[in-house]
Amino acid sequence: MFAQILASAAPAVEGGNKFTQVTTKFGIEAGPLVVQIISFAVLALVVWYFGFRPLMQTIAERQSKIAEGLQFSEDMKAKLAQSEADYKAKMTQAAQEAAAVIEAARKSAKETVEKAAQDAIARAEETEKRATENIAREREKMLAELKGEVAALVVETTAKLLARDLPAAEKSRLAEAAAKAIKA
Amino acid sequence: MKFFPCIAALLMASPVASAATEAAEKLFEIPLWDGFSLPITNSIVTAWIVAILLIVLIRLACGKPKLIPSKGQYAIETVIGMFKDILEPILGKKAFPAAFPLLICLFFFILAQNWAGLIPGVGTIGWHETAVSADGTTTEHFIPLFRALGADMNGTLGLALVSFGAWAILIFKYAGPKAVLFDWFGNKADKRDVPAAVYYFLSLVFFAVGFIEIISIIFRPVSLSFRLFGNVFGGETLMHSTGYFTAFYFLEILVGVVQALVFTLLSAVYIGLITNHDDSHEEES
Repeated sequence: MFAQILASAAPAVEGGNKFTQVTTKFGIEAGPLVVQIISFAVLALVVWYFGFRPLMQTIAERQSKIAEGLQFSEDMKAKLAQSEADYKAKMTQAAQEAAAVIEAARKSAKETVEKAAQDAIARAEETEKRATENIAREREKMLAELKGEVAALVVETTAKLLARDLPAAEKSRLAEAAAKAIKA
Repeated sequence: MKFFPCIAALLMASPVASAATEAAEKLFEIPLWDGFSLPITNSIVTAWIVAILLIVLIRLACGKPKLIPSKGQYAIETVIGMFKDILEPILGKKAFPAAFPLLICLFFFILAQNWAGLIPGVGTIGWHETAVSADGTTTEHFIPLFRALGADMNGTLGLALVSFGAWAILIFKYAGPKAVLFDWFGNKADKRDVPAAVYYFLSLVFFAVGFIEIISIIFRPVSLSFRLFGNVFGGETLMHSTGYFTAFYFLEILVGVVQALVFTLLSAVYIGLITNHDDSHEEES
């Protein structure tokens, strides 16, 4: 069948076999064929090495940079998420620590206030005790002074009533008797 | 606007100068050594010019590639990215890095050459030569200065042979001879799923099919080259015959893209049919 196609494709060429007829009809010759192959090979080499290959390298470089950028973005997102988680954890820990500090401060303040109150109460009691003692002492002192005064007054009054100057022993006896009477 | 009269003149001249032949015309020869010279055809000249323009265009568009791309760099990056997405699943991860440079260059080269054939003047600017045949009759033959690479079988066959050579290297490098031979002649049935007699019968069938497969593989460069040639040569003839009729012109722009894509994808599929097996098995397992 192919022979028929070749035969129909080259009806005008006389002589030779079918192959020769086709090559003659279509002008297929080794020389131009080789030149065409070399022409294409040279073009392909030049276009590839000076055109397409640098372009492909640039595309690959760009894709690599995009991939790196995306990876970096993913890494940054992960780091950001991690940082946020760390921040939240630290904030929670800080809040807990702050709450503990505040609680401790409250407790300490309460203890301080209580201690201060107790101290104040103790001091007040001490002061009151001391005052009571002072009062008692002053009272004793006043009573002693009063006794002395009263005894002196009794002696003086007695001397005036008797209209004579009492001896010292009498004065002393009267004073003691007056003092005993006041005490009683 | 100043160029319009020139283009109009070229368009008007097109139908008259549409006597294109299937074979490319030889313009000059480069003598290499005694008795041997390299013939330079109009399609080779066009291919060189388009290749230089393509290199300049790509360099201008990309410049020194930057991480923040310019508009031109972005446009080419988009096309490259699109092809990467299309070709990687076809070729498999192992063969992709090695095959991609060839395939992307094939696409851009074929596309540029196809579109170059649509520029008014390509195939129409030239001169007439008078040839005298053996019986004494004279025939006038038009020699175009420029001819699209796709409209020359040497160009399309050259590209197909490059694709075929790359296929042969890549499949043996990335799949290995054992996998290649198994893919062609091996019994793909599972011994556990079929009776032994059927299995051995299938082995014979697969072995015979392997020879048919090899014949089809041998004809791949032929089909690749003739498909591209037929489309471009046919399109060029159509353009010349219709005087670059606008609707056909846009159709041919589309055909230029489609044919470049078809050539590239078929080349990728041929490679991937063998190199992508291991990846599929790995994914399955």
